[in-house]
Amino acid sequence: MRDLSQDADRTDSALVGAYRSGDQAAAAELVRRHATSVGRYLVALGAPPSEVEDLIQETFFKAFRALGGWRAEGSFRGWVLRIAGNLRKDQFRRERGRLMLSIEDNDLVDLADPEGEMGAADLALRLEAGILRLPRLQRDVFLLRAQQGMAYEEISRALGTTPGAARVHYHHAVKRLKELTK
Amino acid sequence: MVDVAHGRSAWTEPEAAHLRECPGCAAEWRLTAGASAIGRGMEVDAERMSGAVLARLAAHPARVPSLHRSRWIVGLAAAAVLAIVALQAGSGNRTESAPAAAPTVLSELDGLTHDELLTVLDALDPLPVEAGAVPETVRLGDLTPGELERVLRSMEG
Repeated sequence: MRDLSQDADRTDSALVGAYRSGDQAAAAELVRRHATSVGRYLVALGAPPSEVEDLIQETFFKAFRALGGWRAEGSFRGWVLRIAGNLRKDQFRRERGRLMLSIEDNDLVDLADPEGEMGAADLALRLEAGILRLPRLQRDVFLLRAQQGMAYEEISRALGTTPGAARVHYHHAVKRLKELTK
Repeated sequence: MVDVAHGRSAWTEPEAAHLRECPGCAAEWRLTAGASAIGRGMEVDAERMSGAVLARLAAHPARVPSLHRSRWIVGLAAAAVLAIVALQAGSGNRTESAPAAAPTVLSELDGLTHDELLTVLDALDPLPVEAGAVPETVRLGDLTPGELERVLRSMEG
């Protein structure tokens, strides 16, 4: 019988290597390890709650299918978070298309002022709304740093930038969010 | 702030005092702590999720080249290895401004999509490289996308 506690002790890189060698349990452990982080990241990116689980599943499906091309230059977590971010971006584009159809249905009031519906009294809600208004790179860096607790080095590898640039994006994001949440 | 928000560290007394007196830092701390809490109560059924992912992977395995395609790809891959070895051997005499004459054998790679190139790399991994046949064991699978791009560019002269 396989001792699952061994998986918990292995690094992500070791699990990725094991999965590449055909160990399905290693993939399951990677999902167990990172699914919640991916879900929280998707929520912060504005994914509708009803679609978060599907997006998490799609994220890991795409990640494992593409593992042959992953060169382990950054962390596995950073990599799957980047895939999740890209999926959310694609979903947002599709949503925008649906919104345009809704406008034609004369449903203008709710759509024209989405923040109004959120109340905006609570800082958490204002923060979440503010995050969605940041430029994409600022938003990604801010969330990977503040929400996910990643170091600038890890962030830069996940996003294909430099630690210094990530630091600058974070600084700008914080400055902008201070204004947006006043 | 991030380390404190994620429970990896704690404020010292002077830092805590500064946060109480500095509106800018207090605002940044509220943002950081607030962001670290987004989705914190979220629960994902990881067992069900991993089962679903594995089931999808089983139903949709990564593309496996057909026999005919495999032969073609292995041929290309072997040619690519030879070309890279030749490039490596000649790299000592080369400068950036005067690239060595490029073998043309890899021109067939130019028309491949990214996925097809990945398939070439996958097919390349199991290829045996005889010990002593080359000065260094070099495989396409060892190259980063950037390096692979440079190889392809060098093929174009």
